[in-house]
Amino acid sequence: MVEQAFFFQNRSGDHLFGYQHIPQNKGKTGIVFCHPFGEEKHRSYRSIVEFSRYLANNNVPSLRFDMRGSGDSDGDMVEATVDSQVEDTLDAISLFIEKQSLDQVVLIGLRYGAVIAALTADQDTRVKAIVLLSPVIKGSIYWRELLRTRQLSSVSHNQKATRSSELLEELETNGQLEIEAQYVSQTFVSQLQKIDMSNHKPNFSGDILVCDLANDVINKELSSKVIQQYSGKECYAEIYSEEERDYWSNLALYDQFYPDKTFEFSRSWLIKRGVLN
Amino acid sequence: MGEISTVISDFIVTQIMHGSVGDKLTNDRLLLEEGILDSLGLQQLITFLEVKYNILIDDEYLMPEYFTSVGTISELVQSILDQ
Repeated sequence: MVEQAFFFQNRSGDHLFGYQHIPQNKGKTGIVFCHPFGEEKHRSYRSIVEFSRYLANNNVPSLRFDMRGSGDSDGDMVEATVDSQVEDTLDAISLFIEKQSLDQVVLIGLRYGAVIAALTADQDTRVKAIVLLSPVIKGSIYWRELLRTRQLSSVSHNQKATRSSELLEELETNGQLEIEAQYVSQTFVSQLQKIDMSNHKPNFSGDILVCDLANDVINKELSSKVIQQYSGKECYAEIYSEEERDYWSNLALYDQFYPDKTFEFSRSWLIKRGVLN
Repeated sequence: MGEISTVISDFIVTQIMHGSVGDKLTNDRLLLEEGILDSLGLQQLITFLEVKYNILIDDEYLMPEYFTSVGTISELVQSILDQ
């Protein structure tokens, strides 16, 4: 296996950081990972590295990359929008297909990254399957969670939380708000709040797998609605529920736990669907 | 109150501290001061409590004194349930 870090340019001229895991005997399908937002991106980092290595050890090439304003890539998060992150993913797909002479890709997105994966798949016929890991389904609920994380950051530092109404006023007045140590713009928040994967009309022909944690009762219910939206002649949609841990949010699990069952199920499902060899 | 404390303690031990069911967290253990609960841990706990007890933990309760220990959190849940 060859592991290689590099930078590539997106359509706006930003340098995006990429990391590819290339097995010796690779097929014509590659995996592109779409990362979560903020702290969840950091906390899931190691699990996604492990997932990439697991795939490479099974002859599947993969690319991890940082969208603009994240990780090692150019730009500030405040300049990023949902649309710009979809563009970055489309550019990452083009780059990976060209670099590795692939025919098609599978997008694997975790949490917020699952939204980006699904929206990107709507725009690119080279995407043959999407795997959504504990996806954010309703942007409005997720935004409330992010806002509350900002409030609870104060509480965890022994300070009273700023009221959400005051934070929203700050966002409106300044056009930006600090969430998890990075600024997000009003445009980003507006686009995020409009996302509702349980009501999404997909423009995607391919296979979709939604993986949820067995104990996540809220997401499980919403995920079944996502599956309904995708089920039909153009798509094969399936839901998978597993007794895994919340590796993307729990710091105690970093480097201690990897969702092996999800790795294995996702790969065997893609083989079963004929997307991977 | 005892039952709520047990539910909270079990959740923190198993879901946040990555411990085993049966491990105990005393009611007066300082969760914020000892770094057991950070912002995402608090978020998980609050979401869990809201679903489990069908309550809303509003902005006015987002103060450190309510989340100092298992004891103070269970008092908060009980007081919201009593309203």
